[in-house]
Amino acid sequence: MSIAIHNLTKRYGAQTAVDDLSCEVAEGSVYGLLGPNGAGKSTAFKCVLGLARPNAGSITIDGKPLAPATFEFLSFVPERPALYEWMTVRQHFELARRTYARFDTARAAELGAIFKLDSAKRVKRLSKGQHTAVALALAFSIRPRVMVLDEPASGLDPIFQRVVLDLIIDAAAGGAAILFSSHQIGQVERAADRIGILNNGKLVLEGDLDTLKGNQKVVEAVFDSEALAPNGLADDQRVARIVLSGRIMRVYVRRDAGGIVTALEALAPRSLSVFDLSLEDMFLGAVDDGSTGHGNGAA
Amino acid sequence: MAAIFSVDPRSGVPLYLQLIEQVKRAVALGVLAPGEQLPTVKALALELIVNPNTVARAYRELERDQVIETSPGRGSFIRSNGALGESRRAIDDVAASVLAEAVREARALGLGRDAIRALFEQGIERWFESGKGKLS
Amino acid sequence: MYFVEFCRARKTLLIYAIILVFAALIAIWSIHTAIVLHEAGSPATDLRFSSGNGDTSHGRIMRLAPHTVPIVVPIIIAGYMLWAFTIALSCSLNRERHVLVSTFTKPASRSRIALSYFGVDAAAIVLAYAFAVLVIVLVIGLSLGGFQVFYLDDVAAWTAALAIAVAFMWYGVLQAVSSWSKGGWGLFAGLSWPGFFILAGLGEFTLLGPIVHDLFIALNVINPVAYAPLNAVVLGGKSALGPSFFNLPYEIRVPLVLAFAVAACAIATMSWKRVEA
Repeated sequence: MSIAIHNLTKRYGAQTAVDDLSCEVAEGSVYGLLGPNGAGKSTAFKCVLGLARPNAGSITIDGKPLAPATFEFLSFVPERPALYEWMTVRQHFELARRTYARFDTARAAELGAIFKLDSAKRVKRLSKGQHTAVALALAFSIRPRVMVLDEPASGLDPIFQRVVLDLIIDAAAGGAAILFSSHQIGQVERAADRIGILNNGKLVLEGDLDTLKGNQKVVEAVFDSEALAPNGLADDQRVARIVLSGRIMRVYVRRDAGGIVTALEALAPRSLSVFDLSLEDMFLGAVDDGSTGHGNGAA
Repeated sequence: MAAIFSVDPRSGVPLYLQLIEQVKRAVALGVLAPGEQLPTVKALALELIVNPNTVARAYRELERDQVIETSPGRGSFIRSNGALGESRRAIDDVAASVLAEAVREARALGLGRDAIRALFEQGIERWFESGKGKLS
Repeated sequence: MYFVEFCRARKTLLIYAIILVFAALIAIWSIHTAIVLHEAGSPATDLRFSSGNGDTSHGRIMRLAPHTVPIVVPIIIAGYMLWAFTIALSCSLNRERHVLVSTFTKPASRSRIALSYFGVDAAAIVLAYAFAVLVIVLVIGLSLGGFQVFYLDDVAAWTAALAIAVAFMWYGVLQAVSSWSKGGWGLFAGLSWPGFFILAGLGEFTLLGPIVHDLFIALNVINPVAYAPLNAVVLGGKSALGPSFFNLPYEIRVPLVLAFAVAACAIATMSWKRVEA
């Protein structure tokens, strides 16, 4: 089962929370959605789950629009815990068992042990991290084919964060389509094979992570005198932005770093180097210049 | 098995390329023998804690480069012949680019040809001196 | 999906039962004391609960006769206790607002979820009512030393039906109001019940003036207390409290109130279907 979002737009009054968002999460793929707070990630998720009605665009799961039956196969873990405070952990598992046909009791017990959950405890007595742990344990217990996770590791200690990564990777290896958002770049770099960066409701960078890393580079040229950008370079489709600082010019390249190097060689710099960009670099660059996605990182 | 591979997801180098290089390096150095079985995509993804599609892509490329062969149902194995050659070649490429990069860097720091050659000799002396044992 | 509401209802029913039993014990003790204190009495004054002109007020004694305690009265009182209970259960979905992101992402349609909640609550209301009647009957019976005083007539049965119907109606109104808006309204609607009760009492004592009286009549349209049979029995059919509903026979009143309840729940369901979590 896959998720497909086409031209999703959602407005709240005068404010546009999500603007023409399109992306797909294939079976077995993990899509990491990044973005600053308020970028529209949670809103996008709400639209995917039928909690909010889009103003434009469509969302299909496994090629079909969302229906109650879809939730047999779909798990959602929201950013803030959505558990019944007055019920115990055991009652939550019982509720899930009665609600979902695919609930796996053995798996649930396993996950309860991994997350060190005390079944008899009322949820209101749990710490924030334990809230998240319960929600995650429930989500994975139903053997989902599609998952939507909003900041799945928030409040968890590093050990459990590893556990969550393992669960996501294991589910993806089993063919589940997973859409998740996270502020933890390290987590996204490991778990995701595709990423999207959302800023002010718009997708400013999107694509296969490995391909993006292969394409997105910084070409640094050091000159003998004040660096000046050649005419037209800033308008080049391959160039995201140019940063000039004294005798150093850094050209942030979307793809074809080699071609840009050739172009800069003509200026006879003293030295010319190409540097890789980590996902964090790409993220900071993408939300910093506020570009509207002047072409995507050649996915 | 995965302990012999080490990848850095934070690096700007695509993960699948890192993994490909790691496998070729292991083959070139004899750590992985021809005919030896590699972990499944899922197992390796879980061990390295990386996305399974990334591992799958690496395996596909390794197969295309004729370093490994995959038979459905049985798994992935280092090829009995040809793997060593290809890996050796790949590692030589890596070594060449590392050295070229070092020269470029030294040049950018202002050193001339002779200075660079002298430093190079020093380096060789240091690392190939008898009694120092194997490179790590 | 009813499991959650089932757990919640079960918990609330238990607390309610405990409170009732406790109140019953107090009642038994106080009635017993009253009987002891006023031994000889002339035969037959009917058990009367009234506020208002003349006879008895709370502290005064009920002159009890061996028969003629119609079961109507306990039913009426139970009706009031029932309203207290529905307040506790009310706004079930609304009280879950922060959990709606989870409730509405389950493999059941929103209408089915809402209806299952309403269904469990309806069952709980009936159960609570039956329990309240039982307790009251026990209290009075044990105090009088025998249950033969009770008899069940048509009026009693209709009164019971009406009391439950009114409870459903009030529940429905609360659900409809709370489904439309976030938070506050539901609570306000719930707390308005004791407010109306107090106003009803005030309205009786015309000492407090026609102003309160008139205000009360105006508010009465949405006051479920006005639909209660209490006034019809005690005040001889006349009421400062209510519109002409009282003059309608039970056969019409009960279905009317039930229809109102169903309509209110339908409105609530429709609004839950449209809400954005």
